[in-house]
Amino acid sequence: MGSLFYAWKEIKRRKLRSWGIILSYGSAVLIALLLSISSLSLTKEAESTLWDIGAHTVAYVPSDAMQGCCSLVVNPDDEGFFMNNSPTQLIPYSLVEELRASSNIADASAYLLYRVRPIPGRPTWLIGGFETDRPKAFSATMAAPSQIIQGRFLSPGEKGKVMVEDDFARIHKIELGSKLALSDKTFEVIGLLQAPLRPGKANLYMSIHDLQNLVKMIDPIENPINAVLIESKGALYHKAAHKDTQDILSKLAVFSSYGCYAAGMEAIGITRKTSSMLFILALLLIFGFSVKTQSSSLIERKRDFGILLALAWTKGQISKQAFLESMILGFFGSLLAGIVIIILSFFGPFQGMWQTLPQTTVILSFGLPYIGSGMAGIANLVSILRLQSADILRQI
Amino acid sequence: MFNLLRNKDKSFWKIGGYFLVFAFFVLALNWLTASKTGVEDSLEKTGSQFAGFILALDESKNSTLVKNASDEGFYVHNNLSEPFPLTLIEQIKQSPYVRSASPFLSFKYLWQNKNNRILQIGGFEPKHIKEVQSAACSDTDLLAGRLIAPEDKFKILLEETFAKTENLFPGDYLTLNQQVYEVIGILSPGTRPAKADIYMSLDEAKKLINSRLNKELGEEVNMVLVDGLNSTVNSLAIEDSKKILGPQSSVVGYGCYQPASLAVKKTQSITHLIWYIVLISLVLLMSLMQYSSMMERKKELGILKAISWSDQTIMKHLLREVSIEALLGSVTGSIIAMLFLSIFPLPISAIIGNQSTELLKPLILLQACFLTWLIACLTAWIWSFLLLRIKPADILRTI
Repeated sequence: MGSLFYAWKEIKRRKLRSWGIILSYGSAVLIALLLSISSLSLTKEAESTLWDIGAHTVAYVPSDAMQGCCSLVVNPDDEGFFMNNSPTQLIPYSLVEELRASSNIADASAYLLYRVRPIPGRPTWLIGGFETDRPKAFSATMAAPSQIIQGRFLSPGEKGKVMVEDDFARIHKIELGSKLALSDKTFEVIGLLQAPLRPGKANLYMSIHDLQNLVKMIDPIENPINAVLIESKGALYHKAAHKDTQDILSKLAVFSSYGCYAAGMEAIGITRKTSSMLFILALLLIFGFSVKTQSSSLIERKRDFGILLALAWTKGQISKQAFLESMILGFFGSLLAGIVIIILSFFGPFQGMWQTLPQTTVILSFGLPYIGSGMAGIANLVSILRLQSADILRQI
Repeated sequence: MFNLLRNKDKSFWKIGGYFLVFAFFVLALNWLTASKTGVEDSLEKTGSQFAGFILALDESKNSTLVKNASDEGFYVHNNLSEPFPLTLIEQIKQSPYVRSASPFLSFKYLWQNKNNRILQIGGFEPKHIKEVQSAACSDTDLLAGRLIAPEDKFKILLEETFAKTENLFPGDYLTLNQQVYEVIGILSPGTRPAKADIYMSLDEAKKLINSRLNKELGEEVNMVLVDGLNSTVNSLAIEDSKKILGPQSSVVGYGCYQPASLAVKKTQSITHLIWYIVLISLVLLMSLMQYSSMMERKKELGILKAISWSDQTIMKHLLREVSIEALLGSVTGSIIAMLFLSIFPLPISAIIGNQSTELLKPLILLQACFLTWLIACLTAWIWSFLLLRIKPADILRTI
């Protein structure tokens, strides 16, 4: 108790010096926390923006030339299961469910891309049939509701409606509300789309069940699909998702995907590493600056210790007092930094970031000054107190 | 210098303080710059490629132009397009938002083999392979074989799916319109604005296509592959290209230029914020170092003033001392950095995954030393100026 009293007294006696030390500790903690917060936000922003960049795939299994795609359908000259202008094999629906269970895949959905010639002697059309209740899988691989420029997107379970790509609609003079005759059925155009380049691009989109009903097969099978729309968990999981897909679908599976996931992955990697290095640098700074602050302070007070020794204070008493002083000053420094950070977190670029700081960062930022000053204090005190009081006083 | 040598312990920790701050400043700045440029380099060109074409809104034109209009024609992603003069591509190249623009022919061709298969033929200029690499095909897409060289004659590249379905490999031959072509490469380009089953040189594609037309193509193509300047201005490049191609025009391109450009902008703004934090930290820490040092030497300054030293003389001494300390700290830091770099040849920025940007160079270190010295002197001047305004009696009375 006596040591604490004298430590506090000493702090009060040399107010300006005490303030200097408090501000030094506080600044070091503040800088470390600000750097941690901003470098964490650097990673978070990059990850949130680039997380799923290019991580979209359409997987299919090309048909063997001998087997042909179109031998399955009634009218092989005009119709067939196509992807990337090539005939494809059909995929059992159960494999889509297996793909959904992969830890690297966010969602997978059945897709049917079918080529038809609605009017004999006229060009063929590509129709995409998709599961309307799986937006995560189709939004970036086929088309998204936000890409509708007129009308609306197909709702889950909706039948007898189609959406048309804008370019195709312009060429074929198709308007919103037009009725399109396909096979023996009529479909109403409920939306015009302007989607960027997508691996599952088609001219018309309808529900997969509607399209399956249009397909006339020689030996009809239940639920025919020829592709899977796959949304990887993120750019970092894209390669692993392809591997899982190949394992589940077939070694012959082909992927139609983007190359930009690699750039996204690289950028995320760089920001993550930068963030880690800045955090380590900030911790080293706190530690180093605390050691420096404590060492300078103790060396400046060498004479005080000499006098105290001469006044018959024991080395233990002096050490205890110096240690308590540094702990008290460190506490106030950390407190000051904490208050400033909390105030800053209400304003500007640091808004709300305080709450997002990981616990380890907070513990290390506040704990390291104590460790640094404690270590420096012990080392310096040992070297100072090894001297006799007369030696100390003689040096000054 | 005498004062520095007199208090060796004190001087050591002061110089150590400058060294610490200098090392922190240089390393933080180095990693931040390397991170910013690394992200910019990775994402600058991401998704900034697209293909422009003119929609054939009058289908009868195609019927007149193409012999077998029901199966063949100038199709782009199954949409009928019109040929346009190469002069329009020259105009697109003039846009400040366009890095390069290259002609491309995309034609649906009925291959009369056993299955009567409709093929998508893609014709590009082999000498401009770098300009079409992200919009059509590139060497990184090669699964087997090689790309077409400008001097190659009747060589073709096949898309992976087409090659698989037809069991074709490099070295095989394919006959199109009585002309034999050698397969020299298999590609897996993924999702691209200009996609084909067979890629060949523009001249040979033109020759092949002309055989299917009622009227031969002049100096015309039906697609332009545009490489935007960067992801940030890609929408402006699209706008310019559409304006030049006319009201019937359309473009097909990637959507990933949008998140890429957003990520670049966010990285730049947060990096700038961290730069400011680092710079303010540098000033703050040095200022505190000076403050603590001045407070500890208050008595000394009071005595000097009491024995009639002028403020100017005291200030001069203090600034000289601080200069030597700051320079010793930062120069030591620079020497250690250079030694470190000579022992480990890998740049420091390689730690964060970008080796191309390295700031730890003699000139940059020199500038950092100068900045450390400048801030140290400025902060020392401010604190000593404030301290020297106090009367010596007052200084000595408070000790």
